[in-house]
Amino acid sequence: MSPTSTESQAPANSEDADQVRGGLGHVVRSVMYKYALVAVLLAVIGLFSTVNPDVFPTFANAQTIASTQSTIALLALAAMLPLIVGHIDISIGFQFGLAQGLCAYLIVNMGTSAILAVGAVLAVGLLVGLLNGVLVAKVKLDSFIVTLAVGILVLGATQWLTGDVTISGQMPAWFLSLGRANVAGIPLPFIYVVLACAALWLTLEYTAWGRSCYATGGNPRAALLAGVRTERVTIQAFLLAGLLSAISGCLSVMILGASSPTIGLGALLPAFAGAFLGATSIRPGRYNAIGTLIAVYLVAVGITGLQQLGAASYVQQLFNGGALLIAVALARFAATRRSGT
Amino acid sequence: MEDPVLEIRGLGKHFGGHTALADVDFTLRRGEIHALLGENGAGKSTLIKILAGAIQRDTGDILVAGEEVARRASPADVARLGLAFVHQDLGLVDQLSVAENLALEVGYERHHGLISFRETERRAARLLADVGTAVSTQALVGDLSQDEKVMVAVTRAVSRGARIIVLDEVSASLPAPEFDRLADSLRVAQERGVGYVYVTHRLEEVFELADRVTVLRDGRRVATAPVAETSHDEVVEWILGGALAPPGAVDKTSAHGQRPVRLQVRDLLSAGLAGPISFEVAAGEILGICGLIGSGTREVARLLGGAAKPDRGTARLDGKPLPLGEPHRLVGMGVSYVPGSRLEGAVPEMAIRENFFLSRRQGPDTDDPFVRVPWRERVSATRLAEKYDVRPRGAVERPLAALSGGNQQKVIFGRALRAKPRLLVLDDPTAGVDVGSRLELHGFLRETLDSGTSIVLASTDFAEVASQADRVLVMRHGRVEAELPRDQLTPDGLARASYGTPDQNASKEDQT
Repeated sequence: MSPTSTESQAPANSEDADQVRGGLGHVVRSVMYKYALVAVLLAVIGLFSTVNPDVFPTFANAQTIASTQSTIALLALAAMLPLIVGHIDISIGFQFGLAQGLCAYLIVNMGTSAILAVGAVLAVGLLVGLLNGVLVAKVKLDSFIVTLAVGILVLGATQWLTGDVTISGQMPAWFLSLGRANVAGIPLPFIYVVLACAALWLTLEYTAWGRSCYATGGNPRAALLAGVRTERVTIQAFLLAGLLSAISGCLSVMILGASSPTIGLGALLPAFAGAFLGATSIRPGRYNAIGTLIAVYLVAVGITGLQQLGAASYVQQLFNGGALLIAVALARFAATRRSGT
Repeated sequence: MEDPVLEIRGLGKHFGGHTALADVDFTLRRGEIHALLGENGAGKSTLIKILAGAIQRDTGDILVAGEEVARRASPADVARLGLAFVHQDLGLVDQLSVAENLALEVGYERHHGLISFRETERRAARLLADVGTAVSTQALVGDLSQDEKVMVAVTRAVSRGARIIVLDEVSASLPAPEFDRLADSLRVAQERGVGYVYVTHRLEEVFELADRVTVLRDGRRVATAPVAETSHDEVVEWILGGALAPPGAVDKTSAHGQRPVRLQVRDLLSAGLAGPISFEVAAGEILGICGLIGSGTREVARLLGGAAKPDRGTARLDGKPLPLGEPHRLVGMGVSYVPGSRLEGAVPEMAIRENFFLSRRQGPDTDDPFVRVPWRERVSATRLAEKYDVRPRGAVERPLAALSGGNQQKVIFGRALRAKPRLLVLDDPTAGVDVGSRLELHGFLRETLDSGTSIVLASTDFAEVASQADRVLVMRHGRVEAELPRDQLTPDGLARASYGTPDQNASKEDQT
C-alpha cells in the first residue's frame, strides 16, 4: 500500500548508494520521472487530436472533461490524505454516495434551503471521517477493515435514506449554477478542484502539518519519538477525507441536478487509481496533490478519447486498470535502476 | 595454512567519477580469520558486493582456491565456488526451528517420500556439532540469543559446502559474553578449514579473534598485518589516516556539583526494571548509564525519551514534571531523544532536509514556524548538514536512505541537537557507526554541554561511556548496581562492574 515502494530502496547501511547517484544523468533522469505523467497526458491529447480532429480537440470537449471529472478529482484528493499518513480509507466512495443522496434528499424531499443542506452534508462527512479516524488512530484497528465496515454502513444508510432511487426535482438556480457555470470559459467545478489541489499541495509541502503527515506515513514510530502527534494527524487526515468526499457529493448534485444511487461505488476505484498513479509523478514515490490531479485527468482524457472513437463503455475500466499497472510497474523499474544495484 | 583459498588482486571499481576501490589486494588463507576494517565509505561494502556477485568489478582478478572467478559471475556462481555471506540480519526465519532453518538450505531428510523430522533433526545436530555449536535443533530461531543465531547462519553456510564465509558486521549488537561464545564457535569451524572474512567496527574483537587484519581507507588498502604484530593504536591510525585524535583523548570538564541540578529522576519503575531508579543530572553534565544488553540501560533511556511510559515514578526538568510517555510534550519541554535503533530515529525515504525538520519544535528555546519556506529550510538544512558533517556534502534533497549508517545517525543527531535541548537522551548512539563518525558524534555532545544541556547517555559500549561520561551508573539485572565517579571510568572498570564480581553473581543467582 505504501507509495514508498516506488522510491529508491537503498539499504540503510549501503555505503555505495550515494556514489551510484549524482551527476548530470541523475538530474535529467529525475526530471524525466517527475514529469513523465505530464508528458503522457500531452501525448494522449496530441494523439486523439490527430486521430479525431473534429471532435476531440474542441473547447467544448475540454470543458466537458474538466467539469465531469471534477468530482472524481476531489475524491482522489480525499483518498490521498489517509494514504499519506499510512492508512487507506475505502469508505470515501460510499461517503460520496451518502453526501450526494443526502444533499438531494434534503433539498428536494425536505425542502431544506440549499445552504443548510450543504452545511448538513459537510457536517455528516466530518462525522464519518471522525469515526474512521478515531477507530484507526485511537482504537488502533486496521484501516482497511474499519473503512470497509464504515463504508458498508454508510451505503446502507444511503439506501435507507434515498430508497435506492434517483432523487431529482426542484433545486435553486444559483445552487445548480455553482456546478454548471463557467468563468471565462472555465467550468466552475474545475476551478474548485484546482483550488483544492493547490491548497493541499501547499499545505502538505510547505507547512509543519504536511511534514507531520508524511513523517507519520513514512515511519510512524520515528515521527512519534521526534515529537509528531501521530494520532492527531491521522484523525485529521480522515476528517479531511470525509470533508472532501462530502464536498464532492454536493458538487455532483450541483452538476447533475439529481442524486444517483449507484454513483458512489463507481467513483471509488477511479479515485484510488488517481491517487496511486499520482504518486508516480511530480514527487515520485510520494502521494501528492498535483500528481493526483494530473493522473485523474490523464485517465479521463484517455477514456474520453477512446469512447469518442466508438469504444464501448467497458474500455473505461480496462484503461483505468491498465494505466495504473503500467505506471506503477514503470515507477518500480525506475526506482530499481536509480538505486544502482 | 599457507595456501590461499581466496585471492583478490588489483581490484578496482568506479561509480561514475567516484573511485570506490582502487588496486586492492586481499588474501584469505585456509582456516584463517581475516578482519576487514575501515570507516563507512572506505570500500568494505563494495568489496563484499563484488565478491558476492552483486556488482561487477572494473579491474582485477578474484581467485577462489586457485580458480578464476568470472567478472560476470552471478551470486549463484559464487555460492557454487564455496563463498557464503552472513550479513547483520542473518537471513534466518525466526518462526521456524533451528533444524528447519538448516533444512531450508540443504533440504529435508525424507523417509518414503515424506519429510522425516527425526532424521532432519539428527542431521542438523550433526552439522551444528561440526562447527562447535551447542543449540537445540528444536529451538525456535526467534528464541535464540544473537550469537547462537549467528552460528546457525554460519552452520547453514558450512552445510552448503562453503569454505569461505564473509561475516558482515554480525557482532554489531552482541554483548561481550555472547561474543566470547561466538568466538569459540568460530574457532572450532576454523579448525575444519573454513576461512572467515570478518567485517566489523569493533577493534577489540579483531584483537581477540582475528589472525590477520586488512584496513581499507578511501577505497585503497592501507595495510595488511598479522594481528599479533600490530597494536590497537596502530590500527586506529590506519583506519583514520591520522586525521583525528585517538579516542579517549577528550578533555572532560568536571561539571557535577558545580552546576545546578537540571534533571531529577525519582523512583522510576517500569516492566523492564527490577527496582525503582532515582538519579540527578546537572546542567552541562553527561551521565552515563551503562551495562550489558538487557541490563535496563535501554529501558531508562526509553522512559526519559518518551518511547515508554513508566508504571510509576517521576522525572523533573528544571523543577517541572516531565510528561513521560508523551513524546510531543517532552519535545515541547526541551527534551531530545536519540533512539537506540535507527529504525526509530528517522524516515528513510524522506529527504535529509525533511528529516532535520521532521517535527515542529516549539519549546522553551525554539519555535519552529508553521509555514516552511522551502528555500529557507534548504539553507538551514545545508547549514546543519555541514555542521554535523553529513556526507556526501550538499545533497540535502536526497532521501536519507541513500546515506551510510554513520551519516544517517549524524542527521538524527543534528535534529536532536539543533533545538538546543535542555535534556538530551541518547540510547547507544554510536552502535554500528564507524570510528570516524563516532568521534565526530562524541564531539557534538561536548559542544552542546556548553549551553547547559544535561545529557543522559545510555550505552552498552564501555569504551564510549568511559571516554564520554562525567559520571556513570552501572546497571545489572534491571537495577543500578554502582555509581562510578569520573576518575574511575575505564572501559575495563565499567565492564567489570557490569559483569559483576563472582561473589556478586552468586548472590544474584538466588534472586533470579
